[in-house]
Amino acid sequence: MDEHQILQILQSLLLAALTASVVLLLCGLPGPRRIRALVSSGGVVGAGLALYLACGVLRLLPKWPPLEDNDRNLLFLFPSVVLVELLACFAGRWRLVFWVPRLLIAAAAARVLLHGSIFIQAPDEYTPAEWTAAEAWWVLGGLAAALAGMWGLLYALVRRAPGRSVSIAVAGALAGSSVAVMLTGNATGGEPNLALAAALAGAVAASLLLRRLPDQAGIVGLGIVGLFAVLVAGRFFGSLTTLHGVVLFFSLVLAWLPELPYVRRFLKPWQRGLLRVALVAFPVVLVLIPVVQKSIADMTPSSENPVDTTSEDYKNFGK
Amino acid sequence: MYQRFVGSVLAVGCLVIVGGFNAARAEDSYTVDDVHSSVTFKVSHLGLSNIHGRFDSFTGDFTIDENDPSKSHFGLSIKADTVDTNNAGRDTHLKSPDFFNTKQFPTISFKSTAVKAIKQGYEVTGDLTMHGVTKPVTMILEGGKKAEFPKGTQCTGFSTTVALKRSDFGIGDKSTDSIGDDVVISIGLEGFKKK
Repeated sequence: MDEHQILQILQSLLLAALTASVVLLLCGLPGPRRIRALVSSGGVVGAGLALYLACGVLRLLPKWPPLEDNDRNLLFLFPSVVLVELLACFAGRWRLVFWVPRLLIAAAAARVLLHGSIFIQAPDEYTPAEWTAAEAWWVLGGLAAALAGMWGLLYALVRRAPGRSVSIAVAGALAGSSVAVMLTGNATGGEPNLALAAALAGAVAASLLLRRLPDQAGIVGLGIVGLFAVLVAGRFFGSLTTLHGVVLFFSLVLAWLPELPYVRRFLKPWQRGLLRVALVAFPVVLVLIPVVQKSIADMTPSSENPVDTTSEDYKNFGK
Repeated sequence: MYQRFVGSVLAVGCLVIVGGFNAARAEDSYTVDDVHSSVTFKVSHLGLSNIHGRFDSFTGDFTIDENDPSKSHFGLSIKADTVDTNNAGRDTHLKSPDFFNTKQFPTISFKSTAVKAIKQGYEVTGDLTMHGVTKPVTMILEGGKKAEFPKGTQCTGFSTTVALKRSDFGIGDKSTDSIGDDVVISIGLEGFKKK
């Protein structure tokens, strides 16, 4: 990655964070009949808009027809989540109804991202797809269950602990996962979602200026689907290992630990929030350390790392 | 007498038909010999020098019709995930969505659409599909000499070089500063058929 690309990434992060925060602040400006739903929708719209603007800077806007997972994510998956979360902001008492489209999105997400790939489609008439029909059902079903389960867990957590800590934890996990995917040879898969993490962080930071905290469920929904998309890109199209992908995705389960009765009783809300962010960051950092080390080793010219030769090598030459 | 005459006419007719059939059957169909063929490429690194690479696995076939070259055709299918630049880390990156995205686009294929005989061999125009993008490409296939190797097997071969812009196919178009956009592909193609 050259200096120009690094500058481009930094510009996209700044633009994403600024866009998300400005849109949220515009929706949350004090005024007559300012309703919380409008402010919450500002978070969703701001983060959504921020992602596409950042993709423009990164030259990763979706192509038509959609050929790759990033195209399908930006054309179908992400807009669906933005739409559902936007409508859910205004649903009031009917907000649970929106779990129907959320579950449909969770069920379809992996299939949409993997469409046309060698996992589910035969490359040619002589080579079968990598997965049999039964294997495809198991893998796609498992991924759908994981996304739906995690989305549900975080939604419940936002309702139980309505501060900013869940959004910060999601943004942190998304940023760490995006960096891991970028360093495992899939920069184009990681960059847009790194920008989405910056947008979430921008929205959270801007919410500090608002009189009343907007509902975090919408931006958490965008974050969890973004996390899922980047890990699918890294695992199935890049070189992210299954173990690292699983650890990064399920790191968010740890956000629930401060809500366990025994812990909850002894900690103040701000302490629980801090603990939540630290608990999620821990496995993310654990994954990033070996990924960064391997990336640095891979970039070092092999002539700087000569393998020690021994007399055995000489004796075995030609054998 | 009449029967002998009819018999002679039929015999001559059959000979004419068989002879005509053989004359019309001037096309030779070959299977690409992957042992003696190669698909290599070179691309500039930082404008300093060229990195060379190859694809290790490919299949194909071609038909040469010497009487009517326009009826000839060439087809080649390359397994994109066999890209080999003699550096495992770089090869892994080349297979990723940053470049070839081999899990999404496992094959690079060429199918001829027009073949023309020229002095050096054949001018072949066809559709090159790479990274999900199909573009017309014209290449000069030089050669066409025939040999028998091993005994009982007829071989022929061609060589060609074609220059492409990888950004035309959406391959790594974000990193054209450090890695050149122009890629020179060299193909050595040998085909065989049983005599």
